[in-house]
Amino acid sequence: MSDHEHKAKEYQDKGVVPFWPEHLLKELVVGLVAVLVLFVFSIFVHPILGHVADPGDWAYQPAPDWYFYWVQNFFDVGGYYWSILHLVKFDWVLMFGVPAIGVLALYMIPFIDRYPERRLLKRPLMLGMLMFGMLFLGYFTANGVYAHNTLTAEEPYNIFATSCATCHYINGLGGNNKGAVKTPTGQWIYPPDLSHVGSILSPAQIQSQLERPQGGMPQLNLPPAAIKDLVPFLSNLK
Amino acid sequence: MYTRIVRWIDDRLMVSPLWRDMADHPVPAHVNPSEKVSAFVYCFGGVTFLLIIAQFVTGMFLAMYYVPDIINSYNSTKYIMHHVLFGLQLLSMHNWGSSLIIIMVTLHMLRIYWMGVYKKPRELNWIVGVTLLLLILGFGFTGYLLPWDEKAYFATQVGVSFTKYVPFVGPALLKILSGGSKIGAATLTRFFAIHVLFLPAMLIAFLGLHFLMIRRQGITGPY
Repeated sequence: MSDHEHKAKEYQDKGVVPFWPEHLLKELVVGLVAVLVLFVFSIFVHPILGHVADPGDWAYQPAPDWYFYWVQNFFDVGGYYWSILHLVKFDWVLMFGVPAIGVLALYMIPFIDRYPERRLLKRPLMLGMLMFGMLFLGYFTANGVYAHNTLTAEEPYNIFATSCATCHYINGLGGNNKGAVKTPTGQWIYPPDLSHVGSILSPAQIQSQLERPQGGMPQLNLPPAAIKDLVPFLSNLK
Repeated sequence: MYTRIVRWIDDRLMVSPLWRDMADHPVPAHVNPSEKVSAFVYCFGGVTFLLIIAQFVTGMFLAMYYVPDIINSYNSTKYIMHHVLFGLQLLSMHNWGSSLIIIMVTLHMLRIYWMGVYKKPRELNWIVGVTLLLLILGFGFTGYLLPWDEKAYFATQVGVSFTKYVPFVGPALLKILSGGSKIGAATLTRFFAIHVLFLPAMLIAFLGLHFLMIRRQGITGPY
């Protein structure tokens, strides 16, 4: 019996298989399925490249990658309650202390788990920590997605409120509906009511007015991304 | 002929003990998915490794076209997406790969946690594993900036701003990470270097440690 055959017999008696080639080839089948999934996804769903970065676009609502939503939302929600509790002076506790404790706890898990048992149901503290962790990640991810969708939907309205509503008026909100407004250059202008601007101007006309204002409206130097948001918003006011 | 070549190399480099250590060792049957289908839970770590290799390969090809400066990063990403042969598939694979790795790593960690694998003598390997998780999240964070679109810029601005809360060294850390007082050209080149040089080097080192410890300590179970 050769050395190789001898070893094969020994492995068989022990109920084990050699890593190479038996085990690796079988594991590679599972691995290749994962790579195939990656390949098929890449054929049908592609990442979207947004507008080029514009540091001046103050109205943009950033979204992290999906697996970071919970981080952003935890700090948003936490920060809100932190300020209600008048703890703004101790911001570092929330923003550094809490995540540091979280990461440290993750590192220390083998030393927290002192149960002699390995079954999770016989390790109630560890089961509790797992449940807490999953609920924490799940809640803040879902909440983050919801918050982001809400904020993005409000985005054109926010742009309107910060840059148009000083002079213009829509549906009873904002603006100077008394009539004339004095511009910084000393001219008197009559900002029109924009409640029905969508039925008066075409989207292209709205865009051109925002980019190259005429009739006394000052050049607002709106970032292109803000104009992209505003045009459909204003066109829908009919 | 084959045997002679192997022997010729082996006489000089003594690779066969190394090969025996790496590949010629027994694996218990309970982790083999062909013995028992439920053993696929033992594959999550291996699949993560395979996906990491896929990320290395797609990343290398993307680096052939990508230019890390504030004018060309956006344009070169656009070029990869619209003009490079299979460029869009390449970018998609790299993009999807990051998400799949996060999912696989989570499943892998859940398996380890569920089975209490990190108990003595494997505490150190859990610590190496958590470090690997943080490195992988670092890849996700630094890679997000590279296309230099609005989403990339403002998400990075938010992410980087968290460092300023670190006591004492926070402001310095913020400056080191963003290369100045604002997210700009220096941040982009820094993140590019971190994404393609610093993090891969650290990842390979820690993966090596991870695998070395698995070989030393064996696979747990069956339970």
